[in-house]
Amino acid sequence: MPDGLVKAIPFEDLIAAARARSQDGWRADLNDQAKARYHVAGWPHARTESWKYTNLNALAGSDFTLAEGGAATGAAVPEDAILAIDAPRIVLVNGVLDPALSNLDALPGGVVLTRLAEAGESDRAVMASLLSEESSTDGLPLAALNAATLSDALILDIATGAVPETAVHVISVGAGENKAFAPRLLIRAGEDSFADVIESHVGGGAEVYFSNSVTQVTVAKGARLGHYRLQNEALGAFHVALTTAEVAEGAVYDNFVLSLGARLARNEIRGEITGARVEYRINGAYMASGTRHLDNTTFIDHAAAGSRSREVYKGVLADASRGVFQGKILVRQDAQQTDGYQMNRAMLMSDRAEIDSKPELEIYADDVRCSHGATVGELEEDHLFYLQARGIDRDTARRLLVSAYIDEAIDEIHSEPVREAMKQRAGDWLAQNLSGDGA
Amino acid sequence: MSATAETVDQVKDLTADKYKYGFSTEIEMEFAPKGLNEDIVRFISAKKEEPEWMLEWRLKAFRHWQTMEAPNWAKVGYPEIDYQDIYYYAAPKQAGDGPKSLDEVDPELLKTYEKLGIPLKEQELLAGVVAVDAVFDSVSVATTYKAKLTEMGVIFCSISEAVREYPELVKKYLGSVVPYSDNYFATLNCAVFTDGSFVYVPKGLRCPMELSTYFRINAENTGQFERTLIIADEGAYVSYLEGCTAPQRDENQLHAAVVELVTLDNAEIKYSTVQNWYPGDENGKGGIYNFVTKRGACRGANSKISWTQVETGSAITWKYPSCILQGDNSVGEFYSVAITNNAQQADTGTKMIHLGKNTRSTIISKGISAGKADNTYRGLVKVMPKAEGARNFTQCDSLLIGDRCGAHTVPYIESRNPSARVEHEATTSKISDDQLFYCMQRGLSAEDAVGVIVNGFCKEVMKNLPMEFAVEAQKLIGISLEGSVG
Repeated sequence: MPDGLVKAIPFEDLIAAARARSQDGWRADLNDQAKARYHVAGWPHARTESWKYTNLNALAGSDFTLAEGGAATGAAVPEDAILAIDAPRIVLVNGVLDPALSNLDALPGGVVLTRLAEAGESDRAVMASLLSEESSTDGLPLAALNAATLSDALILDIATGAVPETAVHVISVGAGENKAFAPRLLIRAGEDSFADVIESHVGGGAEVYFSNSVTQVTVAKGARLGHYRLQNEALGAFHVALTTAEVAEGAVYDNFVLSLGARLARNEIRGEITGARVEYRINGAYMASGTRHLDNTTFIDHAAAGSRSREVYKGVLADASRGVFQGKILVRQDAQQTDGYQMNRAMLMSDRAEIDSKPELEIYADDVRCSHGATVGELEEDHLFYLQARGIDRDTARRLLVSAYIDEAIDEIHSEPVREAMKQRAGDWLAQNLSGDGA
Repeated sequence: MSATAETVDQVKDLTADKYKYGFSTEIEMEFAPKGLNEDIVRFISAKKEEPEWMLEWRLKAFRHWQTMEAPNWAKVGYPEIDYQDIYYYAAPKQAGDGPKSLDEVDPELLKTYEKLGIPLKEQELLAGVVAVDAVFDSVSVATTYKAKLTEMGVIFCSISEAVREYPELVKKYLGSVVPYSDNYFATLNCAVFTDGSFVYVPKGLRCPMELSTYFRINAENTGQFERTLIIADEGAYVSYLEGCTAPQRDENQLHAAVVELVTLDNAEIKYSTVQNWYPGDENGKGGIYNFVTKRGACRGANSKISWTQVETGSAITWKYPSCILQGDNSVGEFYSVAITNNAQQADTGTKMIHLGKNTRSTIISKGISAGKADNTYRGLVKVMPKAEGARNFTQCDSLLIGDRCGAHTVPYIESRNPSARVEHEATTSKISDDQLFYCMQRGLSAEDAVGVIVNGFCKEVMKNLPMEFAVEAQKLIGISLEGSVG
């Protein structure tokens, strides 16, 4: 784009408001550093390759005010929107921890939650370095914006060798019209630990808000972390979420994201495999109706030899919705014996829907096995006929087939209760969006 | 010695093999002064005795080019090109109006082709299988079998001749597939193209022989900008072969060609390329920058365009032969083998734009990367809302030889029609020790075993090459990878 057409970078007012709120010096410094990074990275436009298919003009053109979080909003957790999981909750309202809605006392043994505001010197230093350097999020303008407008930062520690008896459920509730919030979560799975962390991102009544979250995950040697997310935001919301994962030798990282809500959502996952025998799994499903725009962007960096990565994303696009999948696997020169698999399947349910898919391999090691695939299509007429011939009406047949198709992705999840909870929400979507209109 | 260790050694050995076609011909040349400005564009146009409308078109392109920036999205790196340091016109000096027959062609030139293995005389004798429109630098020096083709109504001549002799056809189709403003290199080509081939196959005719052009870059510091335009009228069929070799040079040479294909109802064009420009030495010194825009438009219903390419040369290849599938039931095909060795870089692929109903496209790409080379497949499959029942299948396989090379796959898939089916598959692998062992156990040498395996890897593409080319292409693959695996 010629320089003359580049609009002023948006959300300067949010940054200024956040800066004014940061009273203690070190936090203000972090805001300033992040602001500088945000300016260097620049707002993504149509020619920014990583945002090629997701236009942020509508977001940039909206006015938001910095949300005040916590109990003051009087928001409640929308029970029928979150994942129905029996687990202790950590509830964020507008990006800020709300202890009243959470059951922090019930957190299982081996799991420790620290708020940045109350963190000790060492945790504070870790968080400060994450927020100021962000090597893993360099050049990502929205991650820099997150740090510049930070709502709250939490550190979730899973102790070395811990096997907590329940999962932990982090719930982000967006409340209040035209609010913007930017939570940050740091998950540290200690060596040989075995835990599940679940996230539900939902709206608590308000229609339009802007959730710009960053989750940074480290999985230490031999640990196994299940990290599952439901994006079921209010239908007018903007949801931009970045997850970074650093996975060490012998660890298993099992990630799944189900995207259902928001007007525009971007789920970006950037993973770095730093040791051998890692099993890195990022899977997901996206189901869109109306004019929703759901973007899934992933990057897997095989920086060490002898690890495996697996990625399966499946999408259903109804009405005039648009799906975007961009998946990149990088295999570095030293990452011999890498085994990488990536698949994106999209199903278009309407002639106004659109899918843009870009699976990408960048490989510098020769002794590797990497494959990727992408397919786009519609429901098989033969399959529908088969079910109809057995007395099942067309609508039910469509729902059955789409449900089976999506379940294939959900079945990648290791944890059974999470699988069931995800299927329940996917089923809700099908009931609401795939009935009546035949086709 | 383990296969891997041997591979490394042999890749080293390979660089000792000097480029087979690395010789240059001493011929008196006629140059335009170095550099690029409107006067040069006018000079080229005047030299070609072009009509006013052609000059206007060139100037329009040149003015537009000055507002453009070189693309930087491809995964290739090279120092900035100084467009003022290139000769844009170089023609072998001739007495009179150009040769009427092969006897009149400069014997030095014919010798050059002999070394390349395409002696025209011999080919003329070869019972009319192939007609060659040989391009030596910028001017077509000989067109064989012209008389025979003319008799059947096929026009096969240089593009400059076509501009003079068939202005209506040229006006109608030139720039209709690749417009003057298309991209940086294509626009440059519009302004300064010096020659190329023009083919028109009339309605209902199946061109009885394969048409062929050999491009040849000879003069130092000469950019070669050919322009090829092939039109297959309703129900026509033509198979076109393009081969490229260039002598060894230390300075990089720019090659920015444009090829446009048009098929009307029920017509078919098969376009095959064997590209063997000088790839540079083992350190990436020298070699051709091959920045080519190739695009075909299936204008008519049931028409078909098929691209087959074997890319073994060039320091940098930037090339995306594409199909615009406008006509209902039209078919686009892209078969590619790209081999990079040493410091070569290739960023190649295709675009299939589905506009008409029931349009189909197939993409088969085989990338082989050795030495320190980078080999990228970059492709776009786009299904527009009206392309009811469109179908695409894409397969991209990469083979890595050695642990210092890279293989990359960057497909873009954009679908806006639910009845369209798009499938993409890609794999990356190496020649496994097991495969080698299996072959060698049956008495093949390591080198023959690799030959067998690589040929098997490329088979799907090679089988689409016309016979005349298949032999040469197989040899080229052998030469390119000789000893690089073991």
